[in-house]
Formats: sequence, structure tokens, C-alpha cells
Amino acid sequence: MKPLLEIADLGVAFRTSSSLIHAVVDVSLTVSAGERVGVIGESGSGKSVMARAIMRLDDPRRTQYATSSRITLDGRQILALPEREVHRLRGDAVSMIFQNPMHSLNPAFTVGQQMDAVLKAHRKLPGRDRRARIVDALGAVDLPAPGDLVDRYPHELSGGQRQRVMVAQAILCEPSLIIADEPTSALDVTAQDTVLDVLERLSRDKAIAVLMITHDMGVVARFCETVNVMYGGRLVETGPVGDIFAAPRHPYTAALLAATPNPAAPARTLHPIPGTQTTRRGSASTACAFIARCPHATTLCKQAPALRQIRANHRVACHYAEELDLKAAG
Amino acid sequence: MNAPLLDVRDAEIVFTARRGGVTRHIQAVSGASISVARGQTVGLVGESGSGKSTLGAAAIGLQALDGGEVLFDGTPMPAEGSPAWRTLRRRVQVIFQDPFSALNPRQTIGQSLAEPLRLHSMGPRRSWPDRIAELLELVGLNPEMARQYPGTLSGGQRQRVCIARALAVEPDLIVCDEITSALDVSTQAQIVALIADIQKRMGVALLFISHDLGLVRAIADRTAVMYLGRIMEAGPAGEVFETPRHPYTRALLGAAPIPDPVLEARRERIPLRGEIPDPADPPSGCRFRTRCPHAREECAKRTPLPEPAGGAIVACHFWREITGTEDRS
Ligand SMILES: Nc1ncnc2c1ncn2[C@@H]1O[C@H](COP(=O)(O)OP(=O)(O)OP(=O)(O)O)[C@@H](O)[C@H]1O
Ligand SMILES: Nc1ncnc2c1ncn2[C@@H]1O[C@H](COP(=O)(O)OP(=O)(O)O)[C@@H](O)[C@H]1O
Ligand code: SF4
Ligand SMILES: [Mg+2]
Ligand SMILES: [Mg+2]
Repeated sequence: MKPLLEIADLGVAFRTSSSLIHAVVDVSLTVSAGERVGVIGESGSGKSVMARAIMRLDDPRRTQYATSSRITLDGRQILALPEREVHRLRGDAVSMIFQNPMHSLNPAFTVGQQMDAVLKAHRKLPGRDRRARIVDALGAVDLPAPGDLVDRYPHELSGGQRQRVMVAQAILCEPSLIIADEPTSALDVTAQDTVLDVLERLSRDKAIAVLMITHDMGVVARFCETVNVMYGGRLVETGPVGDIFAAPRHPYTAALLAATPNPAAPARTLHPIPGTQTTRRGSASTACAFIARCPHATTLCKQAPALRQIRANHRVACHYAEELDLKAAG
Repeated sequence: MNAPLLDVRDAEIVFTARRGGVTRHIQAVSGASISVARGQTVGLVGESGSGKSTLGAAAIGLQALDGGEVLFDGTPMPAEGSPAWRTLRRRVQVIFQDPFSALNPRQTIGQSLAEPLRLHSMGPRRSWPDRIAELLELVGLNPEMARQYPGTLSGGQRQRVCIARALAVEPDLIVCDEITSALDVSTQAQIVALIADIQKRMGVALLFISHDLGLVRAIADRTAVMYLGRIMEAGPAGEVFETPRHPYTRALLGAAPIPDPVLEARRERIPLRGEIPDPADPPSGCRFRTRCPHAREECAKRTPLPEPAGGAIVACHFWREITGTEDRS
């Protein structure tokens, strides 16, 4: 089967007054129809830039896509489309949900008014049908009394309810893909649980693929079937969630897991990853992205390891992927 | 027995707010008690709006009580502005979630750190530069950083500066209110490891407020669980996490994802009905009853008082039944 979304050799750089910032370097990944795919990595690793590239949201005057980059969505070459056509896809075939629903919702308009604006932009439907569709969508995300909720203002809702309104808005045009950039990072555990439940159910029932960007290994374990680990703008490990948690093969993945607090594990110390990720300026580096912080680095690592297959669907960019005893190290 | 360092007893805090021409009395904290022993780390968890920050502010004298009392070292909060109050302001410090707004962008890091030293007359002025360098090293920063402005620092570095600033006056208690919520996992782990290490070395006590249950489990000796202004359960952290007795604690733990797909698939989830009620009009009796899967008539009539349960305390009429055989032995 052909994947719904195929990103191949994506490179994204930003021109600033003083230098070129390589936000994403050589990233390839695929998302099948209805699949729930995670993207994890610490702050600055390029997750959001990669996600925004799918819908070309960055300012074209400052953004440079590497010439070899291809993003194929349902047969369409996104990077080659005229802006008008990409614009038409946003909120229609592809919807995005961001971390802070308050930024995406206008406090001056009711829930129904904002959702109607989205629907009107994409579908020619009489007002009454649009309202019915909006109320249906609000019900589909488990919001109580959707018939009343349409006429409420965002500030009358809790953070978790607002984020569910964003999910309802995202499904109005029956997208094939939802890109969710840390949709639950600002919520507490119970609100997060509800949002993830709703997204999972929609994904199953309506075969909507979800690209879930997160910092939280718990969210990946809870929600995703496949996970992509990013570091320094590169993809360092990718594969089925079960395999990667049971036996991470990249030192960075293992380090992330060791730094993650676990409410189900007896009290233990968290193992921070020493040092910090640096900004990638100038020419793209030719070393392994993780070299500066990796406890296993050798001189060989001054040459960037290629992402290679070590098991079915499991790919790793580390020279020592087969040899390292990472569980013991974490 | 020694008096605890911090002892909050039956605290009541009501905010008066006007909305749409109606005056509302928000019962942010209602009859909540919490204590922290010298050198101990107490975690305070609960959903957003449950009153954690308000209780934390009261614990350090930044929020007046409408009932109950706060004892520090066995003595009631002194009158604001008195010499005893100034001493107390030194002995208790607070660190907040947002390291971006916590530092003055027009002051160098060194100036920010000198401020508490000056405010509390910590040693002669000429000793400050050395002290500032020492503090920066203590939190894992280069002493050279004293000359930099906050704008050039990352979120994790700023939070380290905030920790250094809290430590500058050698406090006995630090209230940490969601100090890692704005940071990513690896920075969060660095900050938590740092604060746990400092806690051990300097013996400072921590009231660690967070809605991240995993984080609290990693750091706390004791844990208190708060809902709609009340403490629902409190006890040794291991006990609260391993044998949660209150239905709310169980639901909260049931909602937290486990970073292990095998355990995660087996996680026992207890769906909570509905939404958190309006704190200006909380339910009668047990405040959790509108969402509790075990609620019955009794729960609307009588408010459950915290009672001993194993090594913990639990405020639920039916915790024995709910936890089943485990507690009959
Ligand atoms: N418009 C821009 N101009 C210049 N640099 C940018 C721009 N957007 C992002 N960057 C840089 O690209 C890199 C990747 O950023 P990105 O936002 O994708 O990180 P992220 O993985 O989403 O991090 P977070 O977890 O903090 O959201 C960072 O170094 C960032 O500073
Ligand atoms: N200054 C204030 N004025 C009015 N209401 C407030 C104020 N501060 C907090 N509240 C209310 O008190 C309750 C408890 O808030 P808070 O202590 O911030 O909870 P938490 O820290 O657990 O999220 C909430 O309902 C909140 O809206
Ligand atoms: S007292 Fe009643 S409503 Fe409250 S937690 Fe116990 S069973 Fe539930
Ligand atoms: Mg991002
Ligand atoms: Mg708070």
C-alpha cells in the first residue's frame, strides 16, 4: 500500500541576518492512512519545523528547502504546489492542532463562529447544515451539551475543553491527516487523557492518520504505533513503539527514556542527558548529530552515520547500533 | 516529637471575584492541612484549579488565610512588616514555573543574585561577588554568567538562576511551583536532579507542586493529593503511588500515561465523570462526589474527614470498601 504521507530527504534551513540555521537535515519518514505516528525529541530538535514543512507554514522568503526534498501527500507534491493549492489543503485534507488552544481561538468569537469560519472556507453548505455539522463535531470529541456549547466563548471553557474544541474544528472537513504539535503539553493529566482518548477514537473510527509531536515518552507509549526520534534536526531512530521501548538502539533514544519520569516505577533518580543541544549554524555538520553528548562516541562518529535498517521497520543512525548494550547503560 | 518545619492547619482561602455583575466567592482552599518536616520533600499533586498554588503561597506567607493557621517552626506567621516577618521571608523561598518572567530582563544575572543578598543583609557587600560565583557553580553554571542578561540564557539556564537566587539566602524551605512545566524532558531531568542533590547536601525542605505524577514520584518523600480545595489523601510517596486508597488518587494515577508500552496497555484506567465543578459552588459533602465512581447518598450529606489509613490519611467515607481486601488484613 502506498503511504498517505511520504517525506523524503527533507532539509529545511532558515536564513537569518547573520547565518543559515539548519533546522531539519535529511529527514525521511512515512505515515500510512489511519496510522498514529509519534515524533519525539528535546526542544530545538526540529520537530515543529518538520511538521510545519508538511503544510509549508513557514515564511517562504526566509525558508529554504533542500533541493532533494520531497513531501508527497496522497500523490500530491507539496513542495511543488502553488501556494493557492497548499492553502486549500490546510484545514481540509490536513488539519493542525497546536499546544496552546488560546492562541488559536479568538476570544471575541463564540466557538460556533470560529468553527463556522473554517467550514465556510472549505465547504459550500447552507448555514443550517453547517451548524449541524459543527454540533456533531463537538459531540464527537465528548464535549457535553454541544448544542449549547456552540454559543459559548473560549474563556468560558477549561483548557482541556478548549483543546477538544480545536480537535472538533480539526475534523470538520474530514481530514486524512491531523498534525498535532504538543496538543497536551499545557494540560494536566486528566485533561490530557481525555484529549488522547478522543484523538485515538477518531483515528480508529474515521481512519484519520495522526502525526503526534511530543516531548513525553508516556504520550508516545499511550498513543502511537510508530515513533520517530529526532535530534539535532536529524532522524536518529524510527520504528514500532513496542520494539523501540523494549530495546532502543540509538544512545539518544536510550538517554531520553532514562530521563523520563515514570509514575509506575518505584522512586528512582532521573538520569539527565548531560549538556545541551546546540543550534546548527553555517554549513551542515558532517558528524553524528549526537556526538557532543554521547557517552559512546568514538572518532568514527565524526562521520555522520547513515540511517540503516537493523530489523523490520526499525532504522537507526548510529555506527554501533548492533553492539551497544543500551538497556544496561540507561 | 519535634514540631514540623511547616505546619498548615485547616487552611481556608476564599477569593472574591466579580463576573458579569455577580460576586462570586471562590473557595480555593477549604480546610486543607499539610506539613513538611525539616529537610523533607513533600509533593503536592492535583488537577489544575485544585488550589495547589494558592496553598503553596499561603505556606510561605504570600497569601492571607480566611481561616486556619500556618505554623513555621511551631510559631504562627508573624505580622507583615515585623522583624520576625522579614526573617521568615528569608527562611522560606519560592520558585515558579516561568523562568522567563521571573528574572528582570534589564538586570544582569549577577545583579539579580545580589538583590536577595542585599534585601536580607547577607554578609558584607564585598563578599557578594564571591558568593554569587559560588551560587552559580552550585547550580552548575559558569560564574562568568554573572555578567550576562537573562535574554541570552535558555529556559533551563534561567531556571538554574532562579534556584541559585532562592538558595542565596540559605532558606529552610523552598516552595517549587511547577518549576519544570515549561522545560522539556531532558532539561526537566537536569533541574530535578539538581534540586534533589541540593536538597540532600543542604538539608533544605521542599514543597514540590506539580501535576506530573511521575516527577513527584521520583523526588518526593511524602505526597499530598488535592482536589477542589481539599486534601483527599496524603502519606509516604511510595504508599500513595503503590496503594492509592482515595478514589480521586486512583483516578489521577489511572490517567497518567506510563512510558512503557507493555505496562501502559495494562494500565487500569478509571474514567472520571464530567468536569471539575465550579469552585464558587462546590458540591456538598464530599467535593469529589460528582465525579466519583463510588459516590452514594451518604457522600452528599457528610463531608469525609481525613482519617488514618495505613501510613497515610484518606478523606473518603468508603475507602475501606473501595480498596477491598488489601486493608482488611
Ligand atoms: N523561523 C525560524 N527562523 C530561524 N530559526 C528557526 C525558525 N524556526 C525554528 N528555528 C530553529 O530551528 C530549530 C528547530 O526548531 P523546532 O521549532 O522545530 O524545534 P522543536 O523540536 O519543535 O522544539 P520544541 O520541542 O521546543 O517545540 C531550532 O534551533 C530553532 O531555533
Ligand atoms: N487571585 C485570585 N482571584 C480569584 N480566584 C483565584 C485567584 N487565584 C486562584 N484563584 C482560583 O482559586 C482556585 C485554585 O487555584 P490555584 O491555587 O491556582 O490552583 P492550582 O495551582 O492547583 O492549579 C481556582 O479556581 C482559581 O481559579
Ligand atoms: S466520600 Fe464518597 S464521593 Fe467522596 S470519594 Fe469517597 S466514595 Fe467517592
Ligand atoms: Mg516545537
Ligand atoms: Mg498552580
